Amino acid sequence: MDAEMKDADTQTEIEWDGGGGRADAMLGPIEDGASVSLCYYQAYGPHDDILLLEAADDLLPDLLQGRVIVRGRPDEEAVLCTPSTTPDNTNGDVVAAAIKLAPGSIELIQTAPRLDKLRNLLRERPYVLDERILGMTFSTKRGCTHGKTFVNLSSLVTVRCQME
Amino acid sequence: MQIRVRCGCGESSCPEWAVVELQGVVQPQPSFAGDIRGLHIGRLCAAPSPSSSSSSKAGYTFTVGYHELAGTKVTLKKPLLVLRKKKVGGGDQEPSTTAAADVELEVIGIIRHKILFKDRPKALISKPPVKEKKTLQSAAA
Repeated sequence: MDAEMKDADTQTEIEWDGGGGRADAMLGPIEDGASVSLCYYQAYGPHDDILLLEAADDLLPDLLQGRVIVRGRPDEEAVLCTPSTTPDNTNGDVVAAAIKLAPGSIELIQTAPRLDKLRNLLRERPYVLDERILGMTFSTKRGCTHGKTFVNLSSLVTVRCQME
Repeated sequence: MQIRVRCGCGESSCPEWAVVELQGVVQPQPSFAGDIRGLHIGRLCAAPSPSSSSSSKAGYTFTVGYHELAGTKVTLKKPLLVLRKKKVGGGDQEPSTTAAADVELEVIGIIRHKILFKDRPKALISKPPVKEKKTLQSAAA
């Protein structure tokens, strides 16, 4: 069985202070013979609110710039949408501390659009030429609550999230 | 239902975290079983590179009690983002998705490397007694 320990900053139960972690002490250019003490962090614990998401290099910019949304209904697999797949979304003694035992990470798998769901949604309200709607502005139509808009439908284009 | 993934640190200044991957389970002494917070686990040391020519992988030793593990720093094929679930007060989300708007995911770190210890640990206490025996024998002879 693999055991993983994450080294990092502070966290919830005792309170996250937003301070910098000491991973740099471990990963930085350490000279031969230099050492770092590794300990359990003061807030070490299960931390169920902390997740690891495996992200390919091409997804990183979108994730780090806040252009990603996780979508889905409770009974469906979670879907992670990015702008490219959903066009609507806009040197003393250094100590490093382990904050949690990581049980695994979330893997992302690119999937085909859910066309069946799209078809069902379109069937709910077939297109009808309606002069009243034609009279409305485009922005009003997008906000229409009883029709299926492009904003609703584009959430079907997916990258699936999977727990390892 | 939708959950927004936010990052307050930005692409260039996202804090770097690390994974230390060990084979087996790290078990504290029974006397510490109640509370291990702040407990010293071991000492991570940059190993003096024996094969200086092939220095692409940085070597490390991790000494835990009387055990010494040898490992290397490995760059992950796909980086791992450290996300934290965060409750937010509704209001800035669409009214139809208020239930989901209570939660968002915040990027709090990125992991690009792990220090991997994949071999069995070496016991540090087996050698000294052998030396003592030899010296005793030579002294007796």
